Amino acid sequence: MRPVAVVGVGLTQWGKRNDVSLGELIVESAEHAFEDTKGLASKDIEALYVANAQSERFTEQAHPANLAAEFLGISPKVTSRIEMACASGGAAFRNAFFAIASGQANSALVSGVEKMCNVPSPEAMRNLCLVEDLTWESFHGMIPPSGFALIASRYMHEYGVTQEQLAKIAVKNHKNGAKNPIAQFRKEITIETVLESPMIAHPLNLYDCSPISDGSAAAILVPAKEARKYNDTPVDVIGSGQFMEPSLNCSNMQSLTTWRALVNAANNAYSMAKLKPKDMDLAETHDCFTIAELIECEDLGLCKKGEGPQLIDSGENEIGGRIPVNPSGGLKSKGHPVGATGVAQIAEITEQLRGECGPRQVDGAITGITQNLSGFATHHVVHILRRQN
Amino acid sequence: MTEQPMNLPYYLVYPESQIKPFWDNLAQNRFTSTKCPNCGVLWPPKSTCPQCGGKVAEWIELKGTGEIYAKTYVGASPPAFKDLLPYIIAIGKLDEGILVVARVENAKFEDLKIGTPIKIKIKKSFGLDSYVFIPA
Ligand SMILES: [Zn+2]
Repeated sequence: MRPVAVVGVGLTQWGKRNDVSLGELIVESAEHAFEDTKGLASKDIEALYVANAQSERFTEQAHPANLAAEFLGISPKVTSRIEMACASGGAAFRNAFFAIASGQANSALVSGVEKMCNVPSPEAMRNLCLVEDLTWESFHGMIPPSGFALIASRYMHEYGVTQEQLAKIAVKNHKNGAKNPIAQFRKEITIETVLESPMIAHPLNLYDCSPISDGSAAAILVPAKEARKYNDTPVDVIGSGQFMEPSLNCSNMQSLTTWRALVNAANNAYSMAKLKPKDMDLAETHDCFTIAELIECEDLGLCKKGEGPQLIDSGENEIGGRIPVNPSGGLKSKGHPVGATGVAQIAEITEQLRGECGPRQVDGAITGITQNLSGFATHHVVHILRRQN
Repeated sequence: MTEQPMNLPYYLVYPESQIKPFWDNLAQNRFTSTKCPNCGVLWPPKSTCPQCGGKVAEWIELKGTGEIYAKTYVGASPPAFKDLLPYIIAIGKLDEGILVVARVENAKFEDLKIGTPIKIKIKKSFGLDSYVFIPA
């Protein structure tokens, strides 16, 4: 395997995007990613991976990889649409990484996209429920928030965390997202905003949950040796890990509060990078719900098991702290266009390591980690990026 | 016609499923699952064990009793469940050691703790044979 680097990233404005079609949304972030490189254009792309969870349901358009190829005007020789529900973006990036690392392609574009606001929000909720186990969970009234609420109830029992502490995660992420020009919600909130918002699934309120969003994100990868031709500050992909529970539902998880799939995915990424959690300068984690970020910090090793609540109280997860988590605003504030989320995490870390994030910049960041999950936290993708010397 | 929560589950519609005995037994008020010779009782019932990959042919009667392992009170749902709102969902840890998801009926959320004894009650849901938890 040869080393791989990211030389271009791009994002669209996230939120409600009634002004563009699914194909136009793909083009918008890809154009920004090409502009981010020195001279790469769509004709140069040999591999294309499109991360998209449910274009069939949300926009009545299947086959989004061909849609992307048509709108971008490219005919890649290595390509696929990647559907891994909310982890589609991370999984697509991992596939692009392997396409370059293996020598099958010399340039790859990862395009993550989801256009979810086309349908009324009850229908969007129903679509998201399809990710749960239809027969043994959804049929009983399980929804994604209730899955993570069950996890939260278990965490409260095993380790203890309060709704106020969970709310602090939302407050932090909104504070960061307020400084991110593409974020869906650029508004700071308070602990009271969270605690007084409608109950979705106890102990999670509306402001503990990420929103329904339109948006896309793109990343361009090339062999690390050639990266400087295309960007003055390339970012190397030094670790990649993925792991899946043998389960669609929660019944076969060994623990609801230590996510074995995340621990394994993270260990694989850390060992490939030959680094440890303490070497990370910042993290973009999958805060689909506040409880998720808490457990992710622990299972990524950013703090000890059971000490997530102390990490929250200490403020060490803030920009300027020991280990800033979700400086982009996370899914919570930036938005969660499902297929785009994992790619946007890569984009944020890349821009952070290049020092381009303005008011939300993590000073001196050299190494960062991303974590993207799907389902009942049964599937995780982790990447470690480092600024090229 | 009752609005279905999703398209009908394949297992509930097509009798050729290898776990058809589960639904046949449920219709006769029996709560059953499969047992892997290596890994013990499985949930949900399967003809292949997700832990060891081995073939599973043995069906066993579950006692249907256990305790609350995790719980939540749902205040927002897809349209099919709106008439049930708010409702309680629990993961029950049954005496056989398996984790089962179902709604909890005949209970106040405030009264339910992790460890509260519960039992399976077989009843129809959306016109289909199903089950809920009730306090034991
Ligand atoms: Zn087995």
